[in-house]
Amino acid sequence: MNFELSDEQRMLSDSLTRFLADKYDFEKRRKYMGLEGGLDRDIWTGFAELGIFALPFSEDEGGLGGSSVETMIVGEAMGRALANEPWAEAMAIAPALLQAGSAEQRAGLAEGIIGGEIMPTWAHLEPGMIDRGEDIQTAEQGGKLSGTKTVVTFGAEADLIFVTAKGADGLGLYLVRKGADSMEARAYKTQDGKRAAEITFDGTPCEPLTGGVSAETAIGMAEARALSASIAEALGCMEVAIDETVEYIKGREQFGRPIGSFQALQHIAAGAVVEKEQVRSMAMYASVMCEDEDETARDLALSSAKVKMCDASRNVGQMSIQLHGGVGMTMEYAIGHYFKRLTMLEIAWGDRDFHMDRLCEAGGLAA
Amino acid sequence: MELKFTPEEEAFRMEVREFIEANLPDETREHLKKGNAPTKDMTVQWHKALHEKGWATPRWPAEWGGPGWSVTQMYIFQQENQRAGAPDPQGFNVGMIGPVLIQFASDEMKKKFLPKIASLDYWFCQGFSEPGAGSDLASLKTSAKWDEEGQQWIVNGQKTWTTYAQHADWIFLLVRTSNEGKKQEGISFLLVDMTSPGVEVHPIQTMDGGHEINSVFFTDVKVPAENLIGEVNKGWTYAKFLLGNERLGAPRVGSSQAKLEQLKEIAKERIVRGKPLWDHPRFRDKYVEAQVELKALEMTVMRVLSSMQAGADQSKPDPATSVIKIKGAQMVQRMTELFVEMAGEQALPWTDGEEGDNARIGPYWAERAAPNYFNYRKSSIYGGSDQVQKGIISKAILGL
Ligand SMILES: Cc1cc2nc3c(=O)[nH]c(=O)nc-3n(C[C@H](O)[C@H](O)[C@H](O)COP(=O)(O)OP(=O)(O)OC[C@H]3O[C@@H](n4cnc5c(N)ncnc54)[C@H](O)[C@@H]3O)c2cc1C
Repeated sequence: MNFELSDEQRMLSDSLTRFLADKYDFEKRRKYMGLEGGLDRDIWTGFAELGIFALPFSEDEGGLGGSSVETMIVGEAMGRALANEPWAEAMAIAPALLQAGSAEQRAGLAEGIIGGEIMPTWAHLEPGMIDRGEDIQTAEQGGKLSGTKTVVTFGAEADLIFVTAKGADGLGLYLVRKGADSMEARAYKTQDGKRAAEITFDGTPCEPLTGGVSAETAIGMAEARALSASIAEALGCMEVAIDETVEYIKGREQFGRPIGSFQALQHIAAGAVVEKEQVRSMAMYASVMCEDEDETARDLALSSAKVKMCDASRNVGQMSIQLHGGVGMTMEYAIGHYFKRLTMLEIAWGDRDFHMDRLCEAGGLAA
Repeated sequence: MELKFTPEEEAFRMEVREFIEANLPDETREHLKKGNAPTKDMTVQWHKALHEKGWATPRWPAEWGGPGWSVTQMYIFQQENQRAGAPDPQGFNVGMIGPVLIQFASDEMKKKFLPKIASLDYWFCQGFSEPGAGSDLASLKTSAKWDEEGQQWIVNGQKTWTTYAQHADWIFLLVRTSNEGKKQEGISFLLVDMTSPGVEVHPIQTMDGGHEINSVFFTDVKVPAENLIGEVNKGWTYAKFLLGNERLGAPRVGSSQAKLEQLKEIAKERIVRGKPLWDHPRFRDKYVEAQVELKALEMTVMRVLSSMQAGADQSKPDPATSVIKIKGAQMVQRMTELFVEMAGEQALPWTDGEEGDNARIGPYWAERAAPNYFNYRKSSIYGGSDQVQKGIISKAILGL
């Protein structure tokens, strides 16, 4: 047992943090959000140049063979910066889904993702599929997809879409390229500053991922890793939300003194620290457990981390706004944007109820 | 980062488990399983058994009889000991005064006291709090005046809430040795023999009916000069170090894990409104929520231990221990609530044990449910209350 990061991992964290400080402050983020498609491809290329997309791919796929611990480090930094890009799709989801493909498919696509030429996304959820376990309706027949997918992150902008669909042999994973025929993407902005799309396939040509693990296995891995990454992202958001709030209450004066000198507010902030520290522990737990070979143990561990994250994220998010008072309500101040991201992360990859159900049905975590 | 235990660590776990299995008296195991605190004899017996094995002082350096374990081994030992339902090694000795002596006392004093502290030949109690000095500990008034003629300290005053003073051979005291300057700068740290003339112990009954705390009165108690730890008027520094260690010992994760296991076992048998309590969704929610929080706490504790092992400065308390103290107290308290909720109306009878006129009425685990719930409200009050911990976090972590 050992919770310390290696020197390489520390360097990764430092270099990404420097990059984000330089290229992704709050004002620049606002600018990127205003661009067509809601992002600046140079930033994506910058991420690739830092080497972060190579981390999760194995060495024979051309990657660095990193683990989910690296993804956690990246996630925390991305959360701190409120980065909008589909980094988790590239780092957590694509490498897992590609396990369903042949060695050739894996190597070919990994190269593009690692280099930043391919920005991937995943069309998985369908309208009404609030409970993630429900049947997939989208179908593949004779190399063509039909069906509707919902909240596909950067669905209109991504170069490559992984699609979950029912094929002749049951559940399968399929690849669709940007601008494919007979595909309609209705793009929109999300509450937390990203872009997403409702995508309708109507005989869209696709390529099946075959030759690797089963689609179910690959999907299970992708969901686990995406969830783990999102917990790390939430941790990053919580850290900054607390820091910003503490800075604010140190400076804001009422009744002739900084409001941070009032004990009622100090204790609210201290309570948020306690919750955030529990999330840090769970982010570490999730990042290690999301690669566990025992799928049941993996999923239950991740569910427990998610439940903790949801509770803490409400606590931290809401207290941050409360302690900022009126300015916390404004679009202009960063704090509201952290609150919004935290709220959307609560919903992503199964909400609290979904994960409580999963835990309760299993009778809790294994002893 | 590696959370999995190595095969060597797993082998160590088996070794600990087997030792406990073979040596823990059934009587102690049964007594604790019912939710009772260990008696003095039980703690002494088990502490001495561990000491003989070299395991009673896991965090002490090898030089002073520690087993030379890694942080992981310490963690495994504590978890196994608690899960088996064994008494902890005596905490005031092992977790508080021992480490203070190791860190701050003269070699002579270490040689004199540490072996007997480790073996529990000396039972120490903690004389910090006073009627007028609780959270504001530094306002303490119990005084030690230097007697030039007898070359000794003369102690006068009152300590209170002193846990197990009735069992103790020795007490470690914070005393006022100066009224000048800041109140923290006039405090010293003394060891006092409980059999000294002028020491009187008065019991205090807690609301659950138990006797674990006391008031201790000091009237012209003579204390040899060599019983002062470190330097005069530096006691506050030593006390802060001690309180940091106390916080780290607070969470009792293994014990809460054992309680959760027991809770599940009982809930599967207990029929409530026509089906096992375990199958009631409301119960299952509460159970799982407690388990999630406990898992996070377990990770937080391991994380802090791991950073200590990696070389964090150990002479100052890590503010993260305040996080652990708050959550630890909350979890211990939550377990007791769940037992009361599970017992329902069977939590009502105030009975006492297996036999006699006031023998137990309900199931074995229900008798102590309510008393423990009452008793464990203490855990967010002592060792620095929740509010005091939040004060520490605000200042030390947030800089407010
Ligand atoms: C069962 C038990 C065993 C104990 N064992 C020992 C022992 O062995 N040795 C020993 O020395 N002591 C022991 N204590 C004492 C314990 O450390 C004190 O009770 C504790 O420090 C709180 O002090 P107090 O009881 O005087 O409460 P007070 O300090 O009067 O506090 C009362 C309430 O006010 C809050 N409060 C106080 N100051 C502030 C502030 N500045 N801001 C906000 N809130 C504040 C507290 O959090 C608490 O909620 C024990 C206590 C108990 C209950």
